[in-house]
Amino acid sequence: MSFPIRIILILLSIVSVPCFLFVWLMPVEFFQSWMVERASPDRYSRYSAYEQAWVLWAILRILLPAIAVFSVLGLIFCNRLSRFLENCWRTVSAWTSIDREGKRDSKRTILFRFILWGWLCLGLFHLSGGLLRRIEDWPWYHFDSGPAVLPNISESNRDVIRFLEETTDKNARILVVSDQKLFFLSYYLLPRRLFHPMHPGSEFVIPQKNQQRQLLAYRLSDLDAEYISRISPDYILEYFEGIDFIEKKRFREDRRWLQFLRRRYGDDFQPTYNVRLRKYHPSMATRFQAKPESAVKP
Amino acid sequence: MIDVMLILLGVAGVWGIGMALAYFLFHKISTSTEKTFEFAELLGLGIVFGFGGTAIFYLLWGIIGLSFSLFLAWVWMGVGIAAGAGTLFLLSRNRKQKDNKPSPSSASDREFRSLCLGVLFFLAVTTVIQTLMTPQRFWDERAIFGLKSIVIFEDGTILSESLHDPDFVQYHPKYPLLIPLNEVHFYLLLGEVNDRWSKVLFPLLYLGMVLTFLGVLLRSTSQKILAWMFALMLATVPSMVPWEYGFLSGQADGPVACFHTVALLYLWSFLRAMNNPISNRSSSKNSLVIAGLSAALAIFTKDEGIAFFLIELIALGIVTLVYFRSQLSSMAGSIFKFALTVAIVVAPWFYHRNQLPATTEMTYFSRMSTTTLAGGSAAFFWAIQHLFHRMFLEAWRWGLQWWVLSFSILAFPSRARKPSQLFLLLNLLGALSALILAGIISPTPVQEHIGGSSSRFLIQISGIAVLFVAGQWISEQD
Repeated sequence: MSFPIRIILILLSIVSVPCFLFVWLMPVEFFQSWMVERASPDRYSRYSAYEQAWVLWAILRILLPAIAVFSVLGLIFCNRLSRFLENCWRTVSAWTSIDREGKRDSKRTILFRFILWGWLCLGLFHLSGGLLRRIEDWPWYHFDSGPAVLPNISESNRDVIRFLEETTDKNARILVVSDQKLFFLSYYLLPRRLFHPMHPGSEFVIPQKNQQRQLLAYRLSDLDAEYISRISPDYILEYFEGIDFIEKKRFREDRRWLQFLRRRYGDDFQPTYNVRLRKYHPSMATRFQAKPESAVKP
Repeated sequence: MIDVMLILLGVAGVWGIGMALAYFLFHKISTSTEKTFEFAELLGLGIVFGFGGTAIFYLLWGIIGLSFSLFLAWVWMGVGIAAGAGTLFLLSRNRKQKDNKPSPSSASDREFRSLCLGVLFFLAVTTVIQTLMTPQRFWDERAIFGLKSIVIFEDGTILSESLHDPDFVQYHPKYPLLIPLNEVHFYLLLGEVNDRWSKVLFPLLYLGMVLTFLGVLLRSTSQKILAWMFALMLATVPSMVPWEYGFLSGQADGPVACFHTVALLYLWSFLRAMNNPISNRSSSKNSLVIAGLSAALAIFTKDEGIAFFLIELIALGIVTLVYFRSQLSSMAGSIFKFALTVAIVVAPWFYHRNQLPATTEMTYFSRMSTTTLAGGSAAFFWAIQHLFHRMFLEAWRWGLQWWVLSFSILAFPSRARKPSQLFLLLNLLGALSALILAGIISPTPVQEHIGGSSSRFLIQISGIAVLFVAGQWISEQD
């Protein structure tokens, strides 16, 4: 067994030592430009390639020297290494050999070894898959916490979160009427408290991306004054994106929202969904007296 | 860098508390010279009970109306580190005092074990790193658990007014608090919310599960090498790690898998001992307490834990009636001991839970009626087909455990009828039946309810499948 191990180690050394020197001598910009040149021309792909190049470079700077050191040490202590591997192999062979009544049970032995090899191969496949997935994820997550990244939510949710962060007090209570489930807004806006009366018809409905499934929701006019007083909000937010609820004429009603969007996306930007935030004062309660037939106590 | 240090110290504290508790449980029955636990088992249970104990401590502290503070978290951490150091000291002293004969294994066996240890260490480190590379980003981890942990951290209490308002919590306000309270512990230590660092508990529970599994197998068999191989098999189930909804995320499915696997591991160990006249019965009785604690922690993690506990009781009852009719009273006492342990540990949680509002709760028990069940035949057949597809035809994605379990039954059909093995099979069948039943009676269409969650649910019982496989291939003379 010593000979094939020696050959493998020599090959590993031949590959890893020059590669390790190359990775350590070349600047990260070299790898980044190489990756960006090969990426799709869109902005996201180029950004992704640029960031992935950095993380690959960092991993290789650790991994390649480790492999180089291992292969060189392996060559120096080749006899000990091959003895170790031979012992391990012998142990696996002995313990995976199934005996029944003092005789070797070859069918079960083959099955057991087949299972172990299959498991090992699938494990290695998934281990490398996991590593690749983390490299793919790196551009979007880095080592940031959730509030810095606002991961896995729609761009409109992100905008509303940033808008509320900018315009409301840190400990504000915000009453929200919306045709979306707003856990993520609530999660990232803490310590602000968002109160969102959920329509019973939406309770067990799983939302889909881009409002493909319209949820039932309360409008502000559906809520009665008593309910609003109980929540005692500092602000009231109306936020609708679904086709059944948007009111095109009111897209630009909230000037601060419009200003916020235009600061982010340019002066010509036109909103495509409703966001209206207003400060609430208890004296305004009478304004929310809903029509008797539609008043709802959620 | 300070954050890393605080997280490491926090983990050391949690681990220390758990090790002290586990050592206390083992020490109660270690008056005989027989070895009652393995070091790997102590380390594994240390993590499992550490996170469980931390959450229970914070729950009790919160229920009596005291607030959570930085000082409290530091005291808990300090006590944990001291308790852990004390436990390790006692352990090393006891080991020196006892006449520890060198193990009869050969040099090649020892070398293979060191290789396995290296692989396990590598898997543990890469799992921790992979977990910490992403913040909490999935639905459940933020909507159900993360949101509550931030509110509890900011208000310094579980009696927060917001958590009692259904329009604030919205989604599963009655869901258990083991995960949020552990996250709160880390937020208190850090002095701020960082939903990346708080994820450290998930890969550690994975490590705890694997180490406990290894320890119990090492203790249960003389075939130590096979114990290592099966522990590595458990550590490499792809749906647990590195699938991103497994132990790498802040979802509850990984922790439930850990607690449920540990609970069944000790019940399995108990039944093996009951079936073996020369085994140490006193140590097997202790298994029931550990199983009870772990089953209670599963209930305190996710509501599935309640179903798993009921299934465990039913399976224990069936196994008793089939195999232990001559020892009916003794077995009934054992089952009672297990159930009582669970009841005592979860009682404070159910007391608190009763005060929480109910929205979006599926209320499965009240939905169970003959009309709902009779009308669910289409859902039933869809669910069966779907589960078969997911478990067997998508094995390349979720792991070979269901194929291997089937092959293992075929390879040793007589061993599958042993009480401990039959018990595991009954648990697996019970869990799958419960999932299908939940799909039939839930208010959400079965395609969305089971279709969207079956892969996560199967994580919770994959450890049991690996344990069953180990029980099949570890030879009968043990």
